[in-house]
Amino acid sequence: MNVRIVTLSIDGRDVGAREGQTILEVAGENGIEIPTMCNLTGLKPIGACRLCVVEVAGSRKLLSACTTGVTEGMQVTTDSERLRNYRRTILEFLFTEGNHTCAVCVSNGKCELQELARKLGMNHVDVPYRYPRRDVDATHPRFVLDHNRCILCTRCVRVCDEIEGAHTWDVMGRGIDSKVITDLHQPWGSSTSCTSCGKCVHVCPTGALFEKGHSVAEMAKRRQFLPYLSTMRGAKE
Amino acid sequence: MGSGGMIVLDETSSMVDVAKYFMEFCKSESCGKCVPCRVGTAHMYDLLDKIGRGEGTARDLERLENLCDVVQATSLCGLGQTAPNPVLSTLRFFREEYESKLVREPDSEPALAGEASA
Repeated sequence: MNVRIVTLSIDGRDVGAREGQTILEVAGENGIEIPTMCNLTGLKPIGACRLCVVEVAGSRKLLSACTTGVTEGMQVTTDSERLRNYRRTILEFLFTEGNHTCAVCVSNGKCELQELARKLGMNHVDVPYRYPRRDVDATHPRFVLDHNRCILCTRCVRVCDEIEGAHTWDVMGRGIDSKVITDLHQPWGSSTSCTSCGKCVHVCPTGALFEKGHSVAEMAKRRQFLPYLSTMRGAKE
Repeated sequence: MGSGGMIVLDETSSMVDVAKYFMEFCKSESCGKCVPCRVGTAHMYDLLDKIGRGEGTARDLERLENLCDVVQATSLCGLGQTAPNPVLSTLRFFREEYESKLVREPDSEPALAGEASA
């Protein structure tokens, strides 16, 4: 198989990449970290959280690194005062949108959202909390869905569809009122398509999906299976 | 808005309410996929509502302008990227209408707390 190589510059460093790779992948290979939330290796990137936005010379718009392919001679800036401010505000959006009370969360200390806030230095929010009224679905015998902690990254939706092939999860509604649902908005426990594989639980970045029997700060997610499954998928395709 | 149509308003219309009206449209039209548009339009609507009710402070106006910038620059599609436009245009041409509705920050002058909350 022939692989074409392109050269581009990321943060002033000249790097080589294979054609078809995304900016995020190339940056990662070269030790340049770009914050992400909806992205997860093994799942199709959707560019929805907008945390990975980067500046590309010649483009008026900011582009999401997870969905933008590299091109020859591209000049990418992954870190600037402006980008840091934007990312911080987007993170504040995620925290104010739901009810993220870390102190009573099963994922406290093991949460990607919390970890990213620590990394980006978000120690308070400037926009007001929305305190929405949201439900908890504990009808499944092994797992719980807490909408209060959901950030709508749709990793659960994608892993269920792309890897497990069940497509139990989907998004209902639109805008600020959208939420993830099982089947046609039936209780998770009565879902006929769910195979109870638990992949959704383990790709969830927060404590929105967790296994029953875990108390505060006890829910560590296990992701070891993902690269394995996506390699298998790649071989099949 | 979006249709290329022209809207005629007389001087009795509050420009804050006009911006709020358009933001309500964007908020309900947002699909919810990307974070800045989904959450940003809701926050901007709330701030416009607060300022329109005469409860906003100078800090809220500053917040609103910051949100406009973030949502415009980082949204995934054209809806989010243009959602702040009515706010930005009304701020550019009728800023004094916004400012006339602001109240003093309650915490900024503790000695006058009674006056500020009135």
